[in-house]
Amino acid sequence: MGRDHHHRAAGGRAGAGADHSCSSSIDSSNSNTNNFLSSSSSSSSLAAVSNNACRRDLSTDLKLGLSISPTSNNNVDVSSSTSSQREQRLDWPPIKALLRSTLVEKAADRDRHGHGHGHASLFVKVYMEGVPIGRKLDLLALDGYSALMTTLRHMFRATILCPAESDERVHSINSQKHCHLLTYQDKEGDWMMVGDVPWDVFLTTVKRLKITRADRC
Amino acid sequence: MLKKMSYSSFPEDLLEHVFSFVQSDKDRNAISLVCKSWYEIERWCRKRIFVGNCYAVSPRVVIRRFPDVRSVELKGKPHFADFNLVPEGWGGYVYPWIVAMASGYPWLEEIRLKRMVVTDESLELIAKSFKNFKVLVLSSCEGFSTHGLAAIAANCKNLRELDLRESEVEDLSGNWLSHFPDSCTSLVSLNIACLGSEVNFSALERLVGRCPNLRTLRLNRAVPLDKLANLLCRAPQLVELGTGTYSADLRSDVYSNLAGAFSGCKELKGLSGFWDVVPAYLPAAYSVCSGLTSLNLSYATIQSPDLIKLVSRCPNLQCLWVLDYIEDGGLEALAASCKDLRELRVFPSEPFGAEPNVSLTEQGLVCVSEGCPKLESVLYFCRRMSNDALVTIARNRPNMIRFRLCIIEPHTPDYLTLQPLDVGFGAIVEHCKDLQRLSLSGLLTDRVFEYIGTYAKKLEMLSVAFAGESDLGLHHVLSGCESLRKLEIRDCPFGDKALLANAAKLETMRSLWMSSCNVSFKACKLLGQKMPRLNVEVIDERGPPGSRPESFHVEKLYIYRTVAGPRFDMPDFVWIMDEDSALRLS
Repeated sequence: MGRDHHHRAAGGRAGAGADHSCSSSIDSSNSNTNNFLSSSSSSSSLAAVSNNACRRDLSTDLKLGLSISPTSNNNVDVSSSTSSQREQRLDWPPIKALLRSTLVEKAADRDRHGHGHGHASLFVKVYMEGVPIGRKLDLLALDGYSALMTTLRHMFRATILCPAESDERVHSINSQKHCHLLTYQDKEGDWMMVGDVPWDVFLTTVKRLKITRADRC
Repeated sequence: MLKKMSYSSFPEDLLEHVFSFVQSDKDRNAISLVCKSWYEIERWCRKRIFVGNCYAVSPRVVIRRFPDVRSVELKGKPHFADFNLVPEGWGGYVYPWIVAMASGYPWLEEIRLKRMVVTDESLELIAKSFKNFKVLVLSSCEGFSTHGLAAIAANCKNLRELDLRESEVEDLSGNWLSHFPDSCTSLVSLNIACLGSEVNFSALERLVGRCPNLRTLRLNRAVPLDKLANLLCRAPQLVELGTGTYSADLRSDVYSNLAGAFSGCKELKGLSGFWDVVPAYLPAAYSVCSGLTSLNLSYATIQSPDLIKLVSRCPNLQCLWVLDYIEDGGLEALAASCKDLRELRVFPSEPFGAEPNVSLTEQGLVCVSEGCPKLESVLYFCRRMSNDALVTIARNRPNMIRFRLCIIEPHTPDYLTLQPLDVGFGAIVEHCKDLQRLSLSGLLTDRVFEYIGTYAKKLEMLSVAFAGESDLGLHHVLSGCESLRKLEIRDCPFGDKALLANAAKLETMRSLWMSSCNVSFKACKLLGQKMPRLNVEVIDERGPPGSRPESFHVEKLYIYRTVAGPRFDMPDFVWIMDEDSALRLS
């Protein structure tokens, strides 16, 4: 019964749609994404992007698919959580997403104000060029950049480079075609390369992730 | 148009005129079955179509039969997708439909989609293909961004309705709203409540100000309270309002502006929003309360006394959605003051807490069922229930049409007798003769399904979770509920026997969902072979079901009738059990 539990997403299967009959929709729906992302190499357009994206405090960020919630998960002894919390499932009780995230956020607020501490999760959305829907990923279920990269490579079945990993590996793969780079949008709304800051700092600032083709950067 | 049948004494155009008064899909379908000439006339003048499952028919076939449709409503994923039971990437892509309609229906005016994947390219295609496009409703949809919305805003010059209810939009920029041209004055309804980021507020203000027919405006949480008064002053004709965040530092000028703006809105009938509500600001809206028929407080995390003050000022309320903070006491007050109430939804404020955080029990619902004679639709989350309470509710409200009860902890028995809740739900189906929708919860044996099969003759949709003992339960439902169209089941010990014995029943239904039940892969294959007009989809994220013994239970099973054959956009965790695939896999 725990198999629909939230971190299923982290160990999930390969991405949707890369080869389904809507591929034409995918290709051109990316024209937006491509423009958007290809600008991430030039810092001036980065600033433009960040200006458009409004500055928000954390509580507003939570609605953008990034949520902190008190929860235990399968890897953690449930009895170690406070008595008022039990396993938080994404599929029970049956509540729609918008209300659910609002309630989860309230619960997190309460926890921050000292009414017990559940096990946190930090969901962000991951988008990839060529895949029409984003996927959710619990970053707190991962222990660092290499777990993140492994998970994403599996999730999207793609070769993704990460500067935080060994340079040798990066160079050997860099010559190949179809490599992807992982970027993230930080609190300021700027798009950065994943791996530019220590993992703990990354967790405090990441809002969403985007996997983009290396030759477009 | 084909030549009319010679013996038809009615002139065709007269019949066509008569048919134009027939609105319901059911009646239109009945008309088309009368004779060939009625079929022909009807199909040429059908303006609206509803497709309850986008994989049940191909867009090509729909367009061929109904050449002059102006309004299309499509549904994609199974209902359980709302609760994360359908894996991401399952399907429900609207793009092939939009492509077909772009050439087949150039005069299309309305598209309403539910639980579909809508890409920005789909939205761009809508924006450029339909010259007189008016209504776009995207309900619980995903896959698109504010770029796609910008295309709609910029190009649909006669847009009346843009409704994004419960959709998951990639929110790239709040600037999309400024793409509505200054010439756009036609909006009647705008719902952006699901968006995360701040919209361009001055663009919103100007848009609201220049649309004299705007009736519905649902803002998102990023719209601050001190801006609300300005918007209301520009649109005093509003009928439905969804506020943004309803909190601010207490300032008398903010309060008095708001109260003044509300008092100018004489037509308001519905209120929603109220994110982060600060109770001190609620009295600002009191002036409109007496006219309200609908109040959605499911985002308002305020306590019972404040809720009671608000609700008891709304004597004409017909629909109330609220968190369980209202408690039994608040529901008692509701029952005393809102005699016109038809629909009540009570959601849990702490769905994941093990202990109750509020005093909300079966008593509150019993009170409302006593005090509100028109109550016909209930969705109620609670932590304890009794057979006695359910019997009382059933006797009080035989007019109930939708009854959904969610006892949060699965397998919870009657808290007084520790017995299953079979008798209670049995009373509901026995007394409520017109019941169309039912959701079960709590400890339930096969007996409850016997009651349902025996009495629930008008039931159209049944949701079951953590209930039943054996195949017999499912068999009672499939063999007894003659009006059943949708059945969704999770975590129940129902399996092959009941399914195979009632295979023919499945062709009369729209769909059956079963997850974490006891259906074997072998039975799925058999069903797929036996019933060519059903798509039997095995959804299994553990890998190909053929790689395990055939007697193993499949993870998820989705069966629906279709005249389109197997779909071609399956991801790699979905297998359709048609004849060929059965051969391939065996």
